[in-house]
Amino acid sequence: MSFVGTRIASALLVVCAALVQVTIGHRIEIGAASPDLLILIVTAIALLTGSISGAAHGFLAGMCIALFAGLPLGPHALVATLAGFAVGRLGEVLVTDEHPIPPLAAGIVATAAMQIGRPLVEFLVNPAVASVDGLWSRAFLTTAISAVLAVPLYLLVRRVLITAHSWSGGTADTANLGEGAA
Amino acid sequence: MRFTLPQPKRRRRSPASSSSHVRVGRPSTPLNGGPVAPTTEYIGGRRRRTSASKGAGSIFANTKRSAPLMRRIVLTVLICASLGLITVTYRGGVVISSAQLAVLEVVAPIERGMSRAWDPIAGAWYWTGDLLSATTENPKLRERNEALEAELVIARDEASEAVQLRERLGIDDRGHYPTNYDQVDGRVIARYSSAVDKSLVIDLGSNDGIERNDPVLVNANLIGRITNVTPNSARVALILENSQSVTAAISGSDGSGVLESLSTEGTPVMRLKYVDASAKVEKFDRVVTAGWTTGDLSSIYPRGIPIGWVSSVGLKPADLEQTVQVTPYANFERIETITVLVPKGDRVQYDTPAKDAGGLDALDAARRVDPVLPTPSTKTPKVTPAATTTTKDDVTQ
Repeated sequence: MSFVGTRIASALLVVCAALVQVTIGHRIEIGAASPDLLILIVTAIALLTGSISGAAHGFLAGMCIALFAGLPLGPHALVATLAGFAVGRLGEVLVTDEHPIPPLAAGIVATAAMQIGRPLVEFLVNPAVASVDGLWSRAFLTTAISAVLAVPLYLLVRRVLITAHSWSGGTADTANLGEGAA
Repeated sequence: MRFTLPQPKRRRRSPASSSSHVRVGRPSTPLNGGPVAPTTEYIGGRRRRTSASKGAGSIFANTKRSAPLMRRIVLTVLICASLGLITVTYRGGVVISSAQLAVLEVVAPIERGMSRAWDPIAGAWYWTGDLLSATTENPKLRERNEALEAELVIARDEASEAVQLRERLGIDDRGHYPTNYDQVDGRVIARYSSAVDKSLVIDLGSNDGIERNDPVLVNANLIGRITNVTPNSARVALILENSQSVTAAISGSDGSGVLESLSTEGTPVMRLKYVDASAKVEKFDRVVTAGWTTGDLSSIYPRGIPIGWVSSVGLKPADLEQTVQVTPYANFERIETITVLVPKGDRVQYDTPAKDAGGLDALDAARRVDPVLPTPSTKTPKVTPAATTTTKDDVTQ
């Protein structure tokens, strides 16, 4: 029950993040870039719940952004799936709850991967794309914004998942969240 | 000093359940969800994981560790699904497109609500940005305004003269912009912008009389056309997209060509291709839609919609065509409200090949140039029921 409750919460989180991304996120222009909230949410979920869940949530995020913004289905899902899986593996290997570096590094890497990987896929599959302008500057700016937002969003996602977990009757392994150390 | 993430507050619980990870009646071990002992050890200042601590960083330690086989299966399935979607989408899958439109229709009211809720904050954001540049821009704009007012007087005289001449010569001005178009105003409710994706979703749909290929303007300047329509929302393909082209003419000159996106970094720049070397083109010339008609075929854009101004002209001695760069008038980074041109009177509809699949216009992908809907030899125009006959002059779109 707790497993299902947590997964529902994390899926809802991704859907809401996709809606926020297309309605609000892309109206916040800083330079030529906008914050990529969605990939940061996926990154946080992947870090907290593992590689399989990270890949699944990446796929869901890619589908949502394409559906909500009228974009081609598939390219976003592919890149976000790979990013979610990779970050999930990172979370499985690293102890993440005690230090801000893993969420920060994962957020930066995932954002950069999304910013470069998505145009790369488009370049490979769409013959109409002859060149990709502003790729590096946009990727750099977006990644810089993600560096600022990665840790706060990670904490937010962790709070939401812990709440969902406890509401659905789960017994969280809170030793890793600091409670067990007391 | 060691920095640690803030930890969540401990929840007060009854003594029976005071330990959040120890179940009553069971011994507390990591295997049954009990606390994980601090098994990490520090060697040389670095944290080394022991087998017992694998997955200990997770809130859900028992679910986080995944078997390698399961991991591979799930990843493979998801990648295959993504690749399948890419294949179907870029090949113009009608089913996928329909499903996408259905989802868009469902989420459009939510997007509209969220977008409107954010409007005041967005307004303040833009206002702050504008304030910083207003001081330097103000004198330039005043000067420009005076020049434009003078041009406006001349343009009005010429427009009235043109109307009289059209009447005398009996020219059918069906499709003439802007007199034969209704202008329907709408708002952007969702957008996506990346190095390769530029997409707008607006709150107008077929219920507002919008149809596929209707031109979309911002402040009377062309920004794109409608590619997907649902009853209450529509997707706009911007002219900056790689898959879009517009036949354009240079105002006051015989130069014309095909306008395509050249660069979207910073201020967007477009390239007007196929401009004859003999055409007189100068910097700052206005570029408008060409709105050509040939037999039963015509451009979807009516003639005369402003697009931008010539920012650079180049011609080498041996060239047959000029290199003309165009800067669009519209500010694509800040599109909040749009205007869709809806032809007055009866619409002419065509049987078209597969509708847009996802964000890619299958028709444009094949033709690339200012989409012209089908050739008379293969497609027969369908006129809406109000019209009983179709003539060449009816075929304006």
